Amino acid sequence: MVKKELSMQKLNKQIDILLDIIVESLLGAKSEEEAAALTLWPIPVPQGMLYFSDVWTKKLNRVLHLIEKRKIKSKEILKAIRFPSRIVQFLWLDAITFNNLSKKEKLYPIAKFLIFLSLFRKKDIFCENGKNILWNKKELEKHKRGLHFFSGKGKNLNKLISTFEAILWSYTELLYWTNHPFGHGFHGSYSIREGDLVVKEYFDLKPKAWSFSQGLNFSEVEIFEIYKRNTSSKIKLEFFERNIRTNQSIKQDLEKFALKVNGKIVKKPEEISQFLENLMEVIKKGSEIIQALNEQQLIEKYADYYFYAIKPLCDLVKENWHPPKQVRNNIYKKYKEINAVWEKVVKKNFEKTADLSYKQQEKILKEAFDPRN
Amino acid sequence: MPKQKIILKGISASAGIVKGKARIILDPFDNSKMKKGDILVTSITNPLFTPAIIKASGIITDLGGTLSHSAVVARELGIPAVVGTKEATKVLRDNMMITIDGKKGIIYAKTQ
Repeated sequence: MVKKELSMQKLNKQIDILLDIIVESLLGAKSEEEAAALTLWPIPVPQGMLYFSDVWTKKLNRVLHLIEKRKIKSKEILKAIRFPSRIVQFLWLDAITFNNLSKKEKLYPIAKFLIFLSLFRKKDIFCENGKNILWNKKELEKHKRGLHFFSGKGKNLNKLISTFEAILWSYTELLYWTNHPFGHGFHGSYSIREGDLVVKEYFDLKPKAWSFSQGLNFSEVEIFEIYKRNTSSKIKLEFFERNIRTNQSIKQDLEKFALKVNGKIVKKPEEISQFLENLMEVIKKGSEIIQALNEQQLIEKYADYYFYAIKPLCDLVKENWHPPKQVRNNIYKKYKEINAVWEKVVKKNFEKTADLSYKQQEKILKEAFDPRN
Repeated sequence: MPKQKIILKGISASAGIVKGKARIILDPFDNSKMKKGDILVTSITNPLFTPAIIKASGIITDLGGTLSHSAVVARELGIPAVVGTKEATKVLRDNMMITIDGKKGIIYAKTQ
């Protein structure tokens, strides 16, 4: 059970920091003249959220209350969540905020997630020093044990790992769209004897929601990258686990790297080439399938994987994680009604932001994402 | 030596300088037009462009900022990228020989 509750004052302060990060990220993903969140593929986030965010947030409240009621220990909760990037993604606040639920129903899950994250990140929730530290020395040693390191200095191997990572990133975007951290998490940099270590974990690569993903020969990849020590100034992971404070590729400073695929240590570069080839085939098939979906089918998939993301929490209290019938009804029976809200109200408001100054856009977005409004 | 003229400016998304042929791909259905070493020019990228991106020596987009898909993937691949140029797909032409300066966010073309 999570014993320590956040005080309201502390929570307010943390939400203020979160809103700053969210808005900076949203405005950084577009050029100044673009309307916020409208160029996102394959559908804009707020459009999809209209069909399920209230149902999802209610379910989340129920599950988190059950976890509390049943006095499930923090250790077990963290073990179930396993990858904190899942809850970090929920802290974009879109699903929790974009609905008409009460302030209490919105703030409760946010407070819980901030507590979980504080435990994962050894109290440094916002990665204030540019490091996302999840492992202590002992855990680090355990994960590194027996790894087979390849040199990152040679052009061919450097290109191979860079390509594999770029394509893995793209693949998680294919599966989870803007919510790609449901399929990856990055942490570090850890200062170790050989240099600065960054760990990149890719998981849930074969979610049942996408049949094409079953063609992939692996579901988890763990990549360990050791960079020259002086590279650390360029590696600054922020709250959302991204290295965004630079326009430099850090790959030229890669000293060595190692991989585990499905928990097995990779020992030959040819294996990486085979994984890459398999990944490209699955991406090709998946792209064709996604391109053939209509808007309602896309929203249904969106809801499916968004509910799937809380499966680890649902499993703890033996709750069914699937979207309730109401979500399908919203998508297929109330489609026109809900879509009218999107077209006539939400979309129009977002489009108007394109003509505004950065400061004005910042203000509007903060108000839109603030769960206290 | 031919002079280089600035033909476009945008947001610096991934540093590095590369020279290559522009390949305009507006729809992922046309990914097969991309040849290894071409510079991908598009409105905005998403995962459907992966087969084209993997062959690209650089990326130029009309839309997006430093946190867009194009920017993140280009940095991961270690190739130069300039995003948010507003009109790259209109100004550039297929097979045009161009140079990207990803650090400055500038695209050059030869002038004789």
